[in-house]
Amino acid sequence: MSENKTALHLSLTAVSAALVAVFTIAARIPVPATSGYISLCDAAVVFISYAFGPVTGLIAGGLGSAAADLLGGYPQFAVISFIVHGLEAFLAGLLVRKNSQSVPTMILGAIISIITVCGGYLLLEVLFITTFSSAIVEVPMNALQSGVGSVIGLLLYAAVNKAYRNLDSLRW
Amino acid sequence: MNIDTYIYGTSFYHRFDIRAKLLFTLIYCTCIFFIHSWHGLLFSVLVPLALFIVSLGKRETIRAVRKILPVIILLFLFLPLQDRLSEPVLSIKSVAIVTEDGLYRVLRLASRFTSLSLTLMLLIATERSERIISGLRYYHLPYKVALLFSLILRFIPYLGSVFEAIKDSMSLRLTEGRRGIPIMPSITAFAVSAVKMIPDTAAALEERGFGRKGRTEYSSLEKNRKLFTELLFSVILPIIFFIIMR
Repeated sequence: MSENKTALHLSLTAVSAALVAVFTIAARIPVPATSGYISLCDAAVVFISYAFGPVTGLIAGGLGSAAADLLGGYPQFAVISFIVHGLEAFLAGLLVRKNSQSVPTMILGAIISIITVCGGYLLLEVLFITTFSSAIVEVPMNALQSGVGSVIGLLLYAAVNKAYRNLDSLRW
Repeated sequence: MNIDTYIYGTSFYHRFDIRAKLLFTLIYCTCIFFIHSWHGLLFSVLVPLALFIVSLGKRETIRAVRKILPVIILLFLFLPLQDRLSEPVLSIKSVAIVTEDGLYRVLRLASRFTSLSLTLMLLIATERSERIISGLRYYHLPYKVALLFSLILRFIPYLGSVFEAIKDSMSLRLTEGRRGIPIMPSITAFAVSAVKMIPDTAAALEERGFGRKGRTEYSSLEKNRKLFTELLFSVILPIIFFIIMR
């Protein structure tokens, strides 16, 4: 692989990871019912995996969400976020390949994202941090966040694809 | 957006070499998972807590504990404090509310979570991110991965400020009488401006000699006798702690 191709991949991954981190830290939608908030982390992860493919999604989605956890003061969740969001992006990107970008496939990709986030957090938190009865409490919130995020990610991909025509040329 | 987690200080933990600090963090966090005694659980929290107070002061310690507290409360609220087999510690009208094993299980999880969180928070609060990357380079983190980390840390505050500017300008575009932030137009404009940065960054990397020998190299950390002592301490201390406390 030539070095200039590597430079492009490196900058693509770095900008994508920073995008995920900013979406997680800065773009929050308040939920008045729970006095909490939904971060747009999943929207960025889904957008990146659809736009730039599974490999970029895996690295950028994982590193970006882990960086957001580290910088946001929750370093204990960084490894879990890295695995869960990396896997989420990889699976969604794998399903929605360049030649299979139909709406039903994208919706299926979004459903896979939701399952990965809910199942991943539940499994890894039970294994390393807490127990099943405590981790299950977070599932509805995670499902809501990844569900809303996946829909926004899908819309974002369509909007950015329309505004920036060379988007597919960056795909790795 | 301010992403600097480093808190200035002159404590001994601040002055501790990053390579030793990384090793200590790794070994200590691993040991936490294998400690099962009551006093071990208590001391596994007290050690990072004491280090936190000594290195960063009471205010920062309270701030860190506040971040952990909601999860601890959740643990106590949603985990059963009783089981059928062990001795009751607290019972009301012959109904066991808290049993020994139930309490132990919750305390073990709470202490593991707290000590893990405090140890990792301590690492990122007492060391600058570029030093952490240099420390990881010492442990053979590949050059391209280190460069990727550096670029991510460089881009997060920049993209954060771009997002804030876009968000503000989008909210000014709202029709009179309406307030708030139009989320979709803001994130679309932000994502487009971020994507446009990718080819420019790649060109800048090539311009600065990416891939050519002798260019864009990381400065390596110096080796000295103090490092050997600190590395030794960072291995021996958590192992002794584990042997005594398990």
